[in-house]
Order: sequence, then structure tokens, then C-alpha cells
Amino acid sequence: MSPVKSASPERPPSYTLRVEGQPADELFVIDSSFGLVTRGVERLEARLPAGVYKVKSRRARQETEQIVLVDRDQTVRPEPTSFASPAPFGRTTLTHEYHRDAAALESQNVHVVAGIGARIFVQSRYWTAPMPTTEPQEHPARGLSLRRLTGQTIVDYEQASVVALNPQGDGRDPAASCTVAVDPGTYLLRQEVAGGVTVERSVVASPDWQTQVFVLKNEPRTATVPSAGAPTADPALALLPDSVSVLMSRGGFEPWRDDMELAEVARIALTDGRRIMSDQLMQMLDGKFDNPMLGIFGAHILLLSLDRAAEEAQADSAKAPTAGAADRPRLELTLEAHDLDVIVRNLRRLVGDGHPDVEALSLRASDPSLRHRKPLTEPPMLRRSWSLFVAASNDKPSLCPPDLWARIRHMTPSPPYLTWLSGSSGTDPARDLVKSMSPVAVATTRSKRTRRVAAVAGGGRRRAVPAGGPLTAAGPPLAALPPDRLASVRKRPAGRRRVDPDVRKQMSLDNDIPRAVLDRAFRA
Amino acid sequence: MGAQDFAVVVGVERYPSFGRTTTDPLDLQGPDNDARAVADWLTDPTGGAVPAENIRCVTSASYPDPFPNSAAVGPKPRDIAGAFRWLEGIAQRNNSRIDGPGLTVGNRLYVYMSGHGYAKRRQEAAVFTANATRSRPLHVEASRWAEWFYQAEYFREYVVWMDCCMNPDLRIRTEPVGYREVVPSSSPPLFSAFAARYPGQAVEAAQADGEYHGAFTWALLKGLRSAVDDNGAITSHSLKGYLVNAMQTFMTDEQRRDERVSKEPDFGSEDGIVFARPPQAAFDVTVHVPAAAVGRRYRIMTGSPPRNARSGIVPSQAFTIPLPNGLYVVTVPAAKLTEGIEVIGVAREISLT
Repeated sequence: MSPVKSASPERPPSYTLRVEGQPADELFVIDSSFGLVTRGVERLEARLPAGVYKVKSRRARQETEQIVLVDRDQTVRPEPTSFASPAPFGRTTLTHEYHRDAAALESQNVHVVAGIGARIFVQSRYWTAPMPTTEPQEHPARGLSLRRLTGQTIVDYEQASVVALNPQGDGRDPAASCTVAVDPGTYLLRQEVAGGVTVERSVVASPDWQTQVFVLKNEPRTATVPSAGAPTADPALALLPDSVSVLMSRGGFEPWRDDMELAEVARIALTDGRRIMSDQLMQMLDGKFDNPMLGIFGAHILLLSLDRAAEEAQADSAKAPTAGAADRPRLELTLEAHDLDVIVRNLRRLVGDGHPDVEALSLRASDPSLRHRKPLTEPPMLRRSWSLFVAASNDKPSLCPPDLWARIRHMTPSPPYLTWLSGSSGTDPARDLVKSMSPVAVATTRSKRTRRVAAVAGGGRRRAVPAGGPLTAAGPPLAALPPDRLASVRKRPAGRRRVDPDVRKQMSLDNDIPRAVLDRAFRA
Repeated sequence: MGAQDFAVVVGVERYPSFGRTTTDPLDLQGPDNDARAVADWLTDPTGGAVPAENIRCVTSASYPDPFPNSAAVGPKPRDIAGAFRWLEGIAQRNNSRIDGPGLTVGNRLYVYMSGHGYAKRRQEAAVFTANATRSRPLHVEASRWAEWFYQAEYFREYVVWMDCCMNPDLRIRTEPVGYREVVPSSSPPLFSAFAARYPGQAVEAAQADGEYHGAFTWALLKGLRSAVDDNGAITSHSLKGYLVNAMQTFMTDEQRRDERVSKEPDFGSEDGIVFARPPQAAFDVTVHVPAAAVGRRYRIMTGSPPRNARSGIVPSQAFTIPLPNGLYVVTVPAAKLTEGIEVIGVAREISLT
């Protein structure tokens, strides 16, 4: 016990509180008024005034809490928690033992040979315990296929998979597993959905690696757990974000590997936009790690952390304090942009220089010699990877060619993955976007982020603006602009729209549309 | 306080065609209750103190039950848009007066919506309307409406509360909404809270009043009554702290275990807004101790520096003490018993063993 006497008689003595979690655990210390005092990842050490606090630990989406009286130096070690995963790990939930055994066994076999040099293992399974469904379950891989980028079918998983059945013999919660030998490259995982709609995403097979895709079909439980969400019993559920894990391994699936489980924690954190990058995790990615997906997820989380820290710093400097608003404890970072270079080099050592997600990360490398320079020809697996290419395309439009956009342009949200509706006859969203914006709007568009910050920084009083246009049912009304602005716009000649390059860039970033595509839409 | 405030309150509870087929309903049980409870707080003089005539409620309860035909199904998108059109109309009328306040409508705008929902991205919520079907998922871009009014600066403060799922919906293609944007000239205070963090789900459950409520809305209402800060005010900061810690208290065990369900709300802007200054509320905490502790001295500590919230002699193996919201440590030193407890707007029990 080592109380530090304060100069002020009103201040209580302070003590050191250490919190030691598992790798990538998010840690929070909360005071008696439910205010966040400090936060950290994996390990946390804080000097706190004596008092009553709550220590919260989050791993994936599972939380533990402990209320402590800090009246001496002390260490808190949150209880380890299990989390849910589509991959049937040894320590995660939503897993039957026979699912795990089937994944470990069938990922070692090859069921279909369509090439040489890489493998893709897919397991699609149901998990409905402890409230088993009474409805008959269709084949867990129904409508699921692996295709070449040309659309040619390599495997219909309903036909080619080995199905593991419940040992209790009731046929409930089957798991379909299948390994395909392929040439290294990018493939499409397609899920047929009712009504002729198909959902696709890319699967990258790297030389001498097995890419493992786990699809969890978790029946909706709305009868007992009312949810305010949309109905979720569609086949498309199989490709929703919480239902798919992607891992990479030299051999088959190893359910007890800690680093694989950590990759899954990183995947969930990236899905939720949570910053779990720690010095300890960075040290792991800095060394000779052997887990490409952990590296890819980790690098994106690193970028997320760096970008968020920069935004917070900008907001802190721009915003004047307001009544009732308190300073938010920031996540302290010792990470730097240079750390990304290290991860990119390590990832290229592992999977070569043809992995679109790794190449996307290279675009943000601080070392220019590491940056990818050729046009992207294959869709990456992650949406954030696509966004990195889109961002870079604003400086170098050839990086993101229009023909690739044509494939994935009907993107549908499924974080962290890049997922799109295939075969949709809808119009080009880039053209829709440009059409939907009048010259007035195009000239005045700002992103929400910059708009808010700019407004705060600029201050000033509001101007009176005239009436908006007609209200629409789905969205807000047409804009109102000051008369001088409207007059200048009305004088603008019809025809090709003159749009500020910064506005085009912001539109590109906000809508994930490559710059070349957007420029073409404006020219049309 | 509140006399110049306005509110749009939406609750969509009945979805007659949103199930597996267009003849299957996918109803919720809470949004009507939630919308009514939020409106009650808004009009309560010790709550939001908003004049009743300044509130537009659009709820399933105002439509016939059951719907006599498909044309009578509501609220539809245009019904909700009508509430916003009402505000727009006030702005234009004010602006047309020579001595009027320009386009200013009032001091604060509350936007509350509850129903089935989805999100395209973080903090961008949409609520499905009653006439939604699987093949035609009609909805209202709730966050964008709030955003537009924020940009238009018709009010001096903005409060947005969204009680709906924030998970993506594969069936809805991401498309731009066809509208022009207003250029704001300032950045008025805004507090926005969402029932789930993208891409998580929001849930509802039977609550202490015997009715179904969204866990978020129920926590919100509790917080608006009890989450006072050290100055006796319920502020953006104190309300956020309360919601983060309290929301999962109002879920079922099954919901808390379900990883698809967001255990914490999400927050956009948290600018300093004072919601109310109610008298401090206390909640019964029942302490259970072994027989050996009876007759010994107990102490309940809270805060920093730790201060005595209560102390005394343990009267029996179970005794009840009223405590305000907060974190506490209960000790019976002579029996070497210590346990922490979080009081969060409801009665609690604690066992010292």
C-alpha cells in the first residue's frame, strides 16, 4: 500500500490500479457516477484517487464486471470469457463437438480438385441449441457455391460437402464441410437467395495456404427474444456479418490455436469498429507471426485506431467546451503509421504480393516503396480494403478500374466483409448518386464528419435560409440555400456539371465509389 | 424550461406483412408503450416540460387494430414525414412574419423513434414502417431526417433517440437518398443515442410496469428520472453514463447471452444538454448476510474519496436500504464480508457470503 499524500487536504490519496486481461481484451474503469475514468487494451495501469470503481472487461462481445474499492494498490484480473464464433473453436460458444471434429477432420482432406497450390475449406453449419428448432432444417450448404471470377461454378457445396450429423440421431444441427484444392487466386463464394437474388463475396486463396470460411446458420429466436430488427430467416442470413468467419492456416483447422481465436476476436472488433490494438498485439504482428488473417484484421484495426485518434485530436482542438459536456478519456496509443509498414512486409512474406487485402493495406504504408501501384483486378475480402483502394483512387484513378466496380457496385452492408448483390439489374449507384444531386447540392456537399467539425471551427451565427423543396417520404426535403447562392446557381449553364474536386473526393469516400467511376458519371 | 421545445415521437408496433410471407405479421410488443412513455416524460413538468401541442406522435396505436384492409395499414412513410412537414410548416410561417424569429421553430427538438429497423452504417438508423414487406422493405431514414433538421438549424438544441435494430439488411441496396443538403452555419448542441451499436440488434422485454418496452427506451426513461450528476442535473454526460451501464439490466438473461444483441447503446454527438433537474431518487437494496453477521456493524461506501453512504448495525439476515444510483461496496468488517453492487434505477438484492 502506498498512498500518495496530496498537497490539497480535500484530495484523497491515490493508488495504482492494474487490470490484466487476455490478449485484445478491452478494459474500462468507471466511477461511481458511471463516468468513464480510463480505458485500455489487454493491460491497464492507472493512478486513481481512492474510491469505488467498476472494472469492465470486454472480449469480442462478452463482458465481465467487477466493483472494487480502491483503497490500496491492487491488481484486478477479469475472469476469462467465452465468445460466440461461426468457427467451431474449442473455447467458443455456439459450437457442437461434432462440428469441431468435422472441421478439424475434413479440412485435412481434399474433396474436390480444381487446381493446385492452395486450398479453400468451407464449413456451413446450424446451431440451434439450447432451444432446438422444431422446423425442419434444410441442407446447411443449400444454395452455396464456389465460383471463378468468370462465374463458372467450381463447387456446389450442397452436392460436394460431407455432412456431419448430430450423434443423438435426430438430424438436428448438421454441419456440411468441404475442402477444394485450387490454384492461388481470388474466387467467389455465392449464396443463392430466394427470389433469384444472389449474394457474393470474394475468397482469396494464397499459395501454400488454406483459406477457411465458416458459415453459421443460427435460427432466429424471435418467439422468445423479441428483437427490434428485421426478420432474419432469409437464406441470406448465412452471409450476414455475424455468421461468417474467415481464417487462414498452413494445414487444416486447429480448434485450439490461440492465435486463430485471437484473429476471430480481431474480426469481431473490426466488425464493431472497436479499437483493440495494443502494444502487445502489435508486438505479435511485429514478430514472425504465422496468421495472415490476424495480420489483415490487425492492420485494419491499427488504421482505425490511428484515424480515430487523429479525428479525436482534431475535434478536441476545434470544439469549445459546452455546459454539461465532460472530457472523454481517450485511448492512449503508442502506435505509429510506421507499424503498418511492418505488418505489410510480414503479410507479403506470408502470402506474396497478390493478395488484394494486403495490397490495399500497402496503400497506407508510410514507406512509399511499399505501396501498391497496379490497378486492382480482383475484389478484396474486406470492405475496408475496398475503401482503401477507393481512397487511393482519388489521387490515382487507375487504381480502381470501372470494370471491377461493375462487378461489386451493388454492395450490401455485411461488415467487415465486402459483399454485393450479384446479377442485380439495378442501375449504377454512381450514376444514381450524381443524378440525385442537383447542381446546388453537388456544389455544397460536405461529409458529415468534416461538415460538423468545419461548422464548429467556423462558428458564426446562422443565416436565414429560404424554404426547402417538397418533402419526400423516405428522406428529408430538398435543400434550402441563401438567395445569393441560389441566384448564382441558376445562372450556371445547363449541361456538364462543374464540381469542385474536393467535393468529388468526399462523394467518392462517403459512398465507396472509385474516383474514375464517379468522374465518368459526372461526364455522362 | 421546455416551453419552446418540440418533439416528434414515432412508434411502429404492428407489421402485418413483414413475416415470411405477406400474410405473416412480424409485430413487436413495445413501441406503442415506448412512444406513450416517452411522450409522458416529455410533457411531464418535472421531465421535459414540453407543451402537449408541441408534440406529434405517430404510433400504431392511432390506427385500427386489426387493420381492416391494406390501405388502412399505418404508420406509412408519408405519415411520419407528415410530422416533419408540420415542423417545416411552422418554420415557414415564422419566416413569413416580418417581426418573426426567421426560420427558428423553437429551442429544442426531440426526435424519438421505435420499431423494427436497420442501419447502413454506424449511427445511421432507419425504421421500417407498418406497410413494409420482405420484398418491399419500406422505411424511413430516421437519422437522415434528424440530420436534415440539424443542418437546417430550426432549433437551438437537438436530441435524437432511436430504439431500433442497427444491423444491416442485405435486401436493401445502399442507394443515395435524393435530397439536397442544407449548408449549416453553426453547430448547435446535439445528443444522439441509438439502442444498438452497429451492426447489433436491439431488443424488447417485459419490464417492471408489466408491459413490454424496448430495453433502450426503458433504460432511457429510468435515466431521465434518476441519472442526476453531482449538480443535481440530468445531462448528456450523466445520461450516457447511465445508459451504457444500465441498458442490459433491462434485458432478459437470454438476451444478455445473445451476442447479436448490443448490450450497450451507441452515441453520436454528446454535446452538453441539460434534460431535467428532478429530485434525487433512491432504490431499495436488500442485503442478505449470514447469521453470523447479524448484530455486527455494516458500512456502505461510494464515490471518490469513498464516503459512507450508509452504516449501522445489521438488523437481520435480510435488510433493505434505499440508495441512489451509483456504485457501492458493502462491508461487514467483523464478519470479513465485502461485496460490490451497482444501483441503476431499480431495486436490487445482494448477498454477502
